[in-house]
Amino acid sequence: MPILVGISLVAFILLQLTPGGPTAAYRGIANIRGEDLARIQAELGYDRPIIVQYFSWIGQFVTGDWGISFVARRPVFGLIMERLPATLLLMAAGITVSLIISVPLGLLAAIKRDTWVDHSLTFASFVGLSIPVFWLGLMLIIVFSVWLPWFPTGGMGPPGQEVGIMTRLWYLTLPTTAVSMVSLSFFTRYLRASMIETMDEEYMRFNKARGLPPIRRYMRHAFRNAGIPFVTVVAIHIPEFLVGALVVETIFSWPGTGRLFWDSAIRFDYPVLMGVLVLGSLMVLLSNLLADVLYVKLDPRVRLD
Amino acid sequence: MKRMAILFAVLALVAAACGGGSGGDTQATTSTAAPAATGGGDTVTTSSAAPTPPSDAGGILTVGLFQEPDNLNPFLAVQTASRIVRDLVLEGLVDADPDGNFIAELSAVPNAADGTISADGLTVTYNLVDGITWSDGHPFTSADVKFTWETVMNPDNAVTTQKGYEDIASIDTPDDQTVVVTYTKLYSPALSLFSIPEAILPAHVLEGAAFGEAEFNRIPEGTGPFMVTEWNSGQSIILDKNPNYRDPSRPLLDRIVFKIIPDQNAGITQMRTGDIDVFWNIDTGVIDQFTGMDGVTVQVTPSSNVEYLGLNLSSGSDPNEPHFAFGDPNVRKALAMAIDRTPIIEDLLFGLSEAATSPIGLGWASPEGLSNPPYDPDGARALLEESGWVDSGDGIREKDGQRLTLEITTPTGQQVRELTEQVLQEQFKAVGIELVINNVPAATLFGNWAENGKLQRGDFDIAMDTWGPDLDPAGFLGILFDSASIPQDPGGQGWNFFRLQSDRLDAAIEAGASTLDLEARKAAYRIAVEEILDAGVYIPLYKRSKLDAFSDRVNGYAPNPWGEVTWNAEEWTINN
Repeated sequence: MPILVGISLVAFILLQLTPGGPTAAYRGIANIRGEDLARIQAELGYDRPIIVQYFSWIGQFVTGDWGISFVARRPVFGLIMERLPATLLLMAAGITVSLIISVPLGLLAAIKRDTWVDHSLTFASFVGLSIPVFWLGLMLIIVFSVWLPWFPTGGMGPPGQEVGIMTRLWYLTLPTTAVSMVSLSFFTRYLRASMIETMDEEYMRFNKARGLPPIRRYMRHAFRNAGIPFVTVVAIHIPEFLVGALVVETIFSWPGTGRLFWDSAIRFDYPVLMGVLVLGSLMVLLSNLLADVLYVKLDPRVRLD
Repeated sequence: MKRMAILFAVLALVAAACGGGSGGDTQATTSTAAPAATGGGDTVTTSSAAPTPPSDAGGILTVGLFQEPDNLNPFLAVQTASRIVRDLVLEGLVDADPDGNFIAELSAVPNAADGTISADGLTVTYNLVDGITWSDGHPFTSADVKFTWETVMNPDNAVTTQKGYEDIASIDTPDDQTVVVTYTKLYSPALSLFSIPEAILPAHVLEGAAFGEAEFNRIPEGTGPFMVTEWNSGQSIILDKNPNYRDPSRPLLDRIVFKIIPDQNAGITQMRTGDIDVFWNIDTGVIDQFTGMDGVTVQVTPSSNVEYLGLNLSSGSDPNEPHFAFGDPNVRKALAMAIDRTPIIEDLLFGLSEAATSPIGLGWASPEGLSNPPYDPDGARALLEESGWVDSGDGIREKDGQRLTLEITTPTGQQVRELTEQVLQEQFKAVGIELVINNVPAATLFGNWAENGKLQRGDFDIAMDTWGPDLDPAGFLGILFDSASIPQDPGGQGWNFFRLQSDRLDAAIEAGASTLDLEARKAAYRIAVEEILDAGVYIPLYKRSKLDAFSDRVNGYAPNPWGEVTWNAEEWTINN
């Protein structure tokens, strides 16, 4: 909690200190004069000193009143909540796909260490790690939407229609691919390293010597041990999906909080930016907490007394 | 080769656009350009509808918007995208036709000839059109007009502007069909009030509602041809045919879907895949992507917006501290003479625009016969020499140890502008001026005084910007050039960031706004424009055209410089 307050205070002040502001959007309309802007700012409370604004903001924030968007003129809480499910869906899909693919690949690379399988997986995951998400997203659209019209170019479904699960998955395919590529590669690398480390342990050689079948050695003994740091890393890594979603949502017209954040950043819509920032910070803190809890639960060697 | 093809296509387009609705499709708004003999006020035209619905009526059309509307309330929204959507739903008392004449919408157009504008211009009477209902069937009456004014003036409502509305002394509604507006002082753009770009609000929906958070702001109740049925944030806004629209034969489409897309790139792909039928506002930098597309036509519509260079007369924000270089009129003049617009227009804009010569590039107030100083680098060099700016040895001039280095700024992320800056860099260098490019995000450039906006604070030498007048240029000239609009602390947040002070100009702007006599206003605005150009602080570059992509399946669009792309969408059809 104190961390959240600290983050929000720093973010609030930094945002306000950045040159420029929301009133820039009002420029270009000759009928909006200085006195009109001053009147609007006073009515929305933007004419007060930053510190006063901060305390009034945080006082209302804890009660669920996250302020009014300067641009949309709607309550920020509602604005964010109507976008959050889309982001959570994309994140969940990204995490699921990353795990489903990276776990078998990571195990395979470790077991087939230093063979051509391992080398090609290493190469592939370095490629995956190095590809910028925005570039990958655009390439996916060009190849799989424009050249080969297999997938939609963006959105969550055809506008104005009820969307079934298959249609949703169809619309999810490309954004999920883009959002999971980096993590997928990272997880594969990490699991491989973790597995190899465990497999080099003495008890693993002993297991081999006492004639345990390979599948039992790898899955039951190595993976169980290597899996503990892996799970922690995955949990800590969850916010990365949020960051990825920010880029991917913008490319694929995905109506989530990432796009909301991006649009609001361009327009300096402070209350929305603050709302998303605090929510994001909360997610980072919760992921770290989750990692700690999981570590304690999974590793019998760690006990908190 | 490809360039030639594009030029040819564009020429054909412009010719088609200028020729008016010469296509085979029904053009219902054929305005008879017979100005009523008005003793003052604006030229009035009546529109005669020719309702002959084509056989292919019906269907769904999808428009790509790369900007999600902030909201659809005409008194709260600031984004262009908002107007594109809400103009199909909400209506004003009057509207503007492509020639810039007022036409009837919810009311007949008031004019001096029949006395609906009083001789002193202080009383304007609107005779509302009979039999109009809101889309829920509730009748539209004079009470709605009065309610709109009261809403705007309510201090709790944080509306974007009260300009003009604050000059209204009273609104009388003798009967349901008559509105009498009395002004405390003459407001020359009075006919734009309640209409452009605003609209009439439904009293029966908004009465007693919290204005800022009303459901109306997203799903407005209107009198227009369409009504909003759904708004999925970040995805789409869906408009369906209004069953209670006064003309039962309109609109021709059943539904218009505004699809929110992230950017120009998405517009290109979705236009290509057919996911959208219309793409609003193509960035000139990517125009060749659209002109090369099969089954897609780019519509070029003139606009009143002019791309210009604004020179800062002050050193910083104090208008009494002259700029080290621009304090000298010779330097301003030399700068104007050093610019060759041809490569900018022909190469960067694909010949889609023409050179601008005035801040008022379009409309009745646009002065005729103006021209820019000819491109003359030798003349520019001579002027600079005369003022004591001499070559420092490396090709850049200096005076009293000060190098002639100027900073140009414009919002980041706009390709054509960035390229234009580079062209100018070369052209200025040829006469011994060093140009440094320092672009910043729009919110930083256009922020207000308290937000440390670069223009407001005078933190620039040259700004590349675009702006243009509305149908009535009074507000535009006042906020951009009047000395009272010089940004300063506290309070002054106008946009005279040139920090231009001219009594003659102020007087002309004042004169233009204090009469309804159109000829007198034209004369005053000519003086104002000449004064601005003589000062040399506003260097017009080119006229900005509006570029929109239409699938060839869509018929019925007519260009209107004074309206947004959807202004006549009730006439559109789509072939499936």
